[in-house]
Amino acid sequence: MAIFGWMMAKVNAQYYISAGSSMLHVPDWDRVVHYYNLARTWDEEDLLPLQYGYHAGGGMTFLLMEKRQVFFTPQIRYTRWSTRNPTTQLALHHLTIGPEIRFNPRALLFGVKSSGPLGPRWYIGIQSGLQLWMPRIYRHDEWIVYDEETAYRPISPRIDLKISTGFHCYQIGRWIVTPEISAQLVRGAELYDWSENLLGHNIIGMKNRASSGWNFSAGLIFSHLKKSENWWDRPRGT
Amino acid sequence: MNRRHFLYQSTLGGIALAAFPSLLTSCKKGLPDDLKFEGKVIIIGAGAAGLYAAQILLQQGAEVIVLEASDRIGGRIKSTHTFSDFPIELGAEEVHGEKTILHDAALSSGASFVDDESMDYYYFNGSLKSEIDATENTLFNVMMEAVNGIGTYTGGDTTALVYGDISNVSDNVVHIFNALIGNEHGTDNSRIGMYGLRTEDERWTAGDQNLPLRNSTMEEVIQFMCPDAFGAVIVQQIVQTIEHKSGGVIVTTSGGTTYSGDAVICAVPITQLKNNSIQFVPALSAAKTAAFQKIGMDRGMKIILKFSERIWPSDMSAVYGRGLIPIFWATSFGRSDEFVLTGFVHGTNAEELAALGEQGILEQALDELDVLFGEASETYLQGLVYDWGNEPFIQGAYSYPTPDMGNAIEVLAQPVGNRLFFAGEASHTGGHTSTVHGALETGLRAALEVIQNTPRS
Repeated sequence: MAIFGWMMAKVNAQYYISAGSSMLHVPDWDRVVHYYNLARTWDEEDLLPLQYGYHAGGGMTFLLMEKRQVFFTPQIRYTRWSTRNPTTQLALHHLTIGPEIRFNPRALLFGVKSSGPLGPRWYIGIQSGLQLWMPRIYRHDEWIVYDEETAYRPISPRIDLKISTGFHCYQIGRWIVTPEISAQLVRGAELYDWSENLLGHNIIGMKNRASSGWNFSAGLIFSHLKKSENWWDRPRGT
Repeated sequence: MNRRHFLYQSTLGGIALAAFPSLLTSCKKGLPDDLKFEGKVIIIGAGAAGLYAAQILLQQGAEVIVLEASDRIGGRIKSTHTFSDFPIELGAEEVHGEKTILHDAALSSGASFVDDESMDYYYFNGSLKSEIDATENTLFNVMMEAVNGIGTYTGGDTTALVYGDISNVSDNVVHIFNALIGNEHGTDNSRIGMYGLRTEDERWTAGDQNLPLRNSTMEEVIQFMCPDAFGAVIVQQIVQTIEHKSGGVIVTTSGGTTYSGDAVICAVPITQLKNNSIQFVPALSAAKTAAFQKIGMDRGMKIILKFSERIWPSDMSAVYGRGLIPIFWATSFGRSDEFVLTGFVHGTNAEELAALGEQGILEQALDELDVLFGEASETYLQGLVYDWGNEPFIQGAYSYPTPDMGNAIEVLAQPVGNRLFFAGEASHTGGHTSTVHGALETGLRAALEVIQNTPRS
């Protein structure tokens, strides 16, 4: 913690934590689950596609261009989607690591003219980062072991794009509360051996690579304002 | 809206967002409309593939009739409950692999598997050896290397017999080599093709375990999977012609009954296609009929023997002998206090045994067991021979790849137009032929082909 505090002081960043819900929409992976349900003639309850999950993360916000209200925010976010029926449970773990550029569009285009706290009220963020995908399948309460030859590589790395927008709406003590929504492109991500292991065969409906899809998220960000060297509260436009 | 009100509403929204996944995942949700089918489908053959295709189509809204030539449902799945105090499989017996639909269904049905600690025994160089002792023998190890090397075979598409010669498999253990390859695949090493074996090895995804059912039968698992399909079966309907035209299909039986529908799935054993039991109108392509002939299916039988006491080692799961019957396994192991062995034989050995008649086969089996263990004849109580070669609408055990088979399985599996489809273990293109789960998967594939391709009437 001491090292972290020292780093924060050196880089003059405001750190934040976030949490919320995520909705995954990858038609290729949904289709695999539909084929699973088609084949499980005896299951009274269908398995829903991997759609609903939770995320948690954190990052730091650096002031990049004061006059234009542009901020640099390296961040890390973990998301877990899961779905289950009485026999099978699917989990999909997802880690995004990467820098985001946040900006206030109005300030970016027209410059900052009014006074008020420098921390952006409304922002748009664009992130291009590394995504890691890792699926897990449990059937009859046993983890399905992947092929030994490929056991080391169920993590699929992808570089993709996320766009987000948020609004710093309230301050509690030294914490700024920001509802944020985001849409993250899921393109080319591969869940190695996933469909073979879920379906239990290799004859139809196998699709491990997502040709396209989206991860929509909504959540809250809690940004902590430092006592010293806090640029957030500094009046803007000065 | 003031700031406090906005914060209040945001907090409520956040709680709702966090909660809705768990609310939604507890609901049941139907399949997409493009996986529904409300047409009429005729399925020929009430084996695992036909029944499973029927069940899937019924659940997706189709009207289904399953026509079975024999007087019973199940095809090559059959058990007897009268031979011993536990049910004995006369046909398909093991669940091959733990990553299959069949394994999943078996567990869901409440079945369990025999997975007790056991080992195989081998007879060579004039004595019986456990698998631990056998691995101390160089000839045995060379033979096992050849068995395990099928997946990396790079020579021509020859027989496993020739492959054994190339791999320096000794005459002392060649009978074990035959049991592990040819007999295991439904024939013997002189008939099975190496490319087909290699392809199966490469594509196999089911896992390594071979699991007998402990407390239920294969038939019960299939019934659990396909409860509605059993009600759609009409037995003793010997199909003679299948007319498949752009407007629909008409199936005619030997009794003159006709059935019309939107699509037909032909899920009969490959032997019935090889010997032209069914006439197709219009006729199938030359490539298709040639593919039937390239896929092998030989006579196969089970010889079941009960003894008054156990004459084999207590931890024995199977023994590989040197006679006409390449393997016996301890059927009662992990299932009963009675003492039952099953002999399993295919191909030329099965043909030779069939000529002996049932009593002759049982005597041959006892002679071979006397060599392996002694005292077999003295402790013998009763026996049963089930020869699948004598079943008139099956005529064999299960399919196997022949040399120079090429892409015959893919050609067999290919639909003809959008009305005629093929299923059955022999048509599995993913390396799982000759298994129950393979048959089921082809039923799934054919059902999906109907749903996706057949025009609705």
